[in-house]
Amino acid sequence: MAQATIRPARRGRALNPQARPGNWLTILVYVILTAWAMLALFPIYWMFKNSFEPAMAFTVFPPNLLPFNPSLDNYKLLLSRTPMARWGFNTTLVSVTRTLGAIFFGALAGYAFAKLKFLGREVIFWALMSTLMIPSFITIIPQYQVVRALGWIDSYAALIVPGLTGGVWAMFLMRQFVKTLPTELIEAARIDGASEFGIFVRIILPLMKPGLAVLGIFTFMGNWNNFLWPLLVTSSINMRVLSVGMALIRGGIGEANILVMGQVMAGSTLVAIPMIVVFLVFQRYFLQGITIGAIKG
Amino acid sequence: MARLSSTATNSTSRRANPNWLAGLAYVFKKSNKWGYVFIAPLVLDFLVFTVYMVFYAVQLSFQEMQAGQFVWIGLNNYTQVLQNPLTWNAMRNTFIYTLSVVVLGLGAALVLSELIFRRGTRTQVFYKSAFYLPAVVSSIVVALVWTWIFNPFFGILNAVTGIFGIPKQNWLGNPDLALASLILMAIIGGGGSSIVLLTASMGGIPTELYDAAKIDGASEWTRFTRVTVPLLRPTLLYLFVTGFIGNFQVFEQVYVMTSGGPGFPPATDTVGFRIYDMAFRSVQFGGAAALSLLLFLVILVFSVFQFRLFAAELEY
Repeated sequence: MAQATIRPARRGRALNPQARPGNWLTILVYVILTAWAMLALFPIYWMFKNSFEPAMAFTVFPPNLLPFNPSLDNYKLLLSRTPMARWGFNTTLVSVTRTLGAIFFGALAGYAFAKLKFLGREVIFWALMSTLMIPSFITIIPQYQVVRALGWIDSYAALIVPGLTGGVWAMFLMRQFVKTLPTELIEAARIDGASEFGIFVRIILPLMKPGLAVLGIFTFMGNWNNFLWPLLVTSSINMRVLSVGMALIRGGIGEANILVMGQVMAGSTLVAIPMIVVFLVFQRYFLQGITIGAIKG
Repeated sequence: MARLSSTATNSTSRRANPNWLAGLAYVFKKSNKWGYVFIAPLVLDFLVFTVYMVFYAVQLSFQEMQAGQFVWIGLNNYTQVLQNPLTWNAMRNTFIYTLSVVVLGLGAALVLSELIFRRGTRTQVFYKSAFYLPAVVSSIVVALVWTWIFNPFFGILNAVTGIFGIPKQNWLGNPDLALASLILMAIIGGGGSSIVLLTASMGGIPTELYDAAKIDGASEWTRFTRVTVPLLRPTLLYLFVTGFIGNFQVFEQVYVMTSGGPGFPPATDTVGFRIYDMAFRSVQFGGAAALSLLLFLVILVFSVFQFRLFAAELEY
């Protein structure tokens, strides 16, 4: 980290030996970074700001950058006109169940692949890994056929069951975490007469809390934002999830109808806020998860 | 396990089959059977919802629905999909979209990573979080907000371009602009995870290399192009391949913002949207399955191609 303070000064001198070391260069760097950050965050601000605006604010051109006449009317109208609350419940139920499933089964399988020795372990592991590249579009059509044949359309089973174990990615992420734990711990527990499942629950799970947090956060986010599968397997308005409900509201309202744009923005805000809060609270795990999930082998 | 299995294979050869089997049986006897129990739920889920489904998709791709029954029609779905100009239009759109988003997005991410790397930890975390935040928001929501930003009459983008004297544009309704608009949207919100990974990899480059380059009189730019970028090649390859695979399946933005349109041939019709459209709007499950398998083939070929390209450049 000492480097962190030395490098900028050094690079300034290298480029411009006469002037005072790169002050204006450093400023330029911050200007570029801040401009890009504002650009990236602007749509989120715009959604938030517009969700409080009255309908007439949407027909002003050029639009006001700052809040014009903020109120909660859009939210009230949206909640009274659509089953937003029910969609929120459905989304939460599905996301929480699937996250718990991914954490438990992913950790269980990841632990087995990392620490237990059994015939065919490497073969099975690589067979699983080799399917990571298969696009979801291949499996989604037959999955839909099967779920329909089972009579699961428009049920929680259809939303929850396929892929409940978190899939290969969850297992892989957990395996990476368990690998870093000392094997001696497991062997000592085994000598003490602990059962294999007991070792997993009492020794492994508590030690891999950071890993479980990373997996949990990413699975929750993926499920909260999931769209195509819930769109296909639900049909009644009360079984929709938030993302599908929002997309269909827009479709029902029609693009041209600017008068309800405020409600679309309010709904969008309600869908986005929980994930933004989760991100801000668990930032560390997000940044960690991106790095760990990417390490191959 | 690794050691056990290697001794088992070493001590045997192909002609001594019984020994080989005995070796496997021995390894199996020594195996921790709980391993099988622990991986069983995942393997079961995998066998039912992935392996079986892939076989089902292959089977579907040779069939057609006739009077409520699936009938075997050989390669007809494939020939029809390949002869359909809409398929090639979607492929072309998807390639333009994917390559633009991945190349431009990765370029921007590389520059931004270089700019935030070696700032203080807090500064780094602040900017990384700002760049990553859009990625946690549902792509449906992002698409809804951008639809409003792109609005031809009251959208803010037209207000911004108006400052530069550009007349109002129908960003999503003009066949010449629609795909570019989707690309712009993807690049602006999409750099976060690349930047996190690139800065992490930059941290792994030994400082001595920069010092040596500096002693040799290399300029800041030379050090970036000759030291940083080559050493980041594995990370760049990873981001390129995963970015390609991910973006090639673009669907939600198209569904919400353009429905594949505007114009003919539809300007933002992508392979993912085509599959959805065939299967769930036109109820051509067989044709959609065939197209989804072609999508996989393209992804596979391109991933291998990219690995070879990068690997070839590594050997000099």
